[in-house]
Amino acid sequence: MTEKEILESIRNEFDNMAPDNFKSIENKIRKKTISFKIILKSAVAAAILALPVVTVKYTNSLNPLDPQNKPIAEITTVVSHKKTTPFSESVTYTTTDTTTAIPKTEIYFTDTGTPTGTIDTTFTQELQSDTALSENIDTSSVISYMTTPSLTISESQSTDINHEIDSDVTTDKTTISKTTEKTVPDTSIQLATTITTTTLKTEHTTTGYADTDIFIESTSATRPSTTTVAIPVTTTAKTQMYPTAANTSDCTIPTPPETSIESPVLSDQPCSSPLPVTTNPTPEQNVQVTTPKKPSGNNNVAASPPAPIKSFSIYFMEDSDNPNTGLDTFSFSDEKYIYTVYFVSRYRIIVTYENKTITYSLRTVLNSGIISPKELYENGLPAVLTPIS
Amino acid sequence: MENSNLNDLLRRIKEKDMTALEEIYSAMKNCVYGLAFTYTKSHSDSEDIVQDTFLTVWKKCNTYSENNPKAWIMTIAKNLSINCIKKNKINLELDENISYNENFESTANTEMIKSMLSNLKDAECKIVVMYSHGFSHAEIAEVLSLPCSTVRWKYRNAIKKLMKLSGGGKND
Repeated sequence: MTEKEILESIRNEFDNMAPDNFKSIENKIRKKTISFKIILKSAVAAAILALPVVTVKYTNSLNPLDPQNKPIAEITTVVSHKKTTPFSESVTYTTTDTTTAIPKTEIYFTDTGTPTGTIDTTFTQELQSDTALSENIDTSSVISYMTTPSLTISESQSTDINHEIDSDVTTDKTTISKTTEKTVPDTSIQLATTITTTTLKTEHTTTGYADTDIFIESTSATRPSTTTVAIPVTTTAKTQMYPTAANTSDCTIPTPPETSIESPVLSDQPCSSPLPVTTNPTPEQNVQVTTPKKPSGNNNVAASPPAPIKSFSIYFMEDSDNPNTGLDTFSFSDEKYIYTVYFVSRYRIIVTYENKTITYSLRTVLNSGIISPKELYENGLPAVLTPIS
Repeated sequence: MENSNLNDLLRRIKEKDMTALEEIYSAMKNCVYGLAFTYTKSHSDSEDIVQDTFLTVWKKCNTYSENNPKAWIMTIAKNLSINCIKKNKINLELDENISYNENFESTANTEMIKSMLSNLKDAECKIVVMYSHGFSHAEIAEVLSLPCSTVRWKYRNAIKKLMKLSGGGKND
């Protein structure tokens, strides 16, 4: 063989073996990798009560409504979330397409179950054909969905105190309305607000017994567009009025009603339990009551003030959420102060006295314990309880 | 294909002209395959290297400086071949005792080519294969990073061996 024949033989041999598949190269070039990164942000935990669902539909047609145009890929992701802290999570989705059509991407974000109902938001990202043919496409950080930028708390409380005197001497009705509106910053996690105590003083011109009915209607709108959750609370407090002398028109009521309305802690959940409302008798605010009318016959009652509670006990029941056998609140008093105990949870109580509020943790007391009001007063902090705020 | 035509095609590829890539693929796929085969000794690997070579041409054509298009493309193929060898951890003795028995088809010419190439050193094989596809000694030297005189000398030695094996003696 000559040199030329050898070279031709070698060339022909490799020509026969070499592939001829340009189509596969073209497909590789046209293949697009499209990444979606959906960033979900929540500034407040209260705005995310349900599982956000992200659905990504990727089609290669300009008309996604065309029934013949089925999505090339579809993914549905349930985004985990945290209820107690603001979060920012992302969902990344990658698809490839070897077609030459202009792709269209639809991303649906559905946040179901929130108090505002269902939020359907559709994001559409159209990809340019020339870009799709040249480089992979990364649409990361294109979509940022802020569920609720801020949270507005609007609370209004009105108290109707209707005194109905058993003796039918008089009926006094006083209405107090107080509205508190507060906008919580984005960083707020737990909503805690206390409405200023409203003190109502009434004078009655009667002797005998008075029943005090307190109606509290509290409305709380925890989100701007949330249906207002009404929390009707009805509490009846009885205040016994003891005349200083029988059959006299003047009587001293040692324990006139002082209405204290407090909302200790509001969580982001709709309230399911009534706000604790107490009517605390305050010795320093005795009300002189004169009776313009002659009282009826049964007001000639020689009564004495109830003996103050010297101590109270908290019993911890293993299977009970309320350590105090189902009571949400109760009061006791000693020689100095009147103490009101709120059971916020099975782990916390709030004790108020003399316009002071102390929160105690019950975690350290597992079985039982007895708290003396005297100890509470003298030492400030009961030995068995640990204040947490 | 002349270098000027290849430069025109590469300019069109810069503008994302798919037909230009197809033309350059048709013109150079055989020599790319031949060079890849001398490295990998594998038909399937060589096919993959051909695809990857032209994909790289498509993606990296903006970096081409219109100097020597043949050498540029063959250098891409050479580098991909070396990477393939490293990736597959093929420990071949490229200098001696190259066996093509498992890769060539058993045709008459193939047997002859196998016999010829198996008696050549690795560098001689590459030089002969590229020269058979129209590469000049200077272009081969650029691709293989060898002096042009070395390429010319190795080529002459290879041709002498092949002619002796084929029983011929006439040198064109």
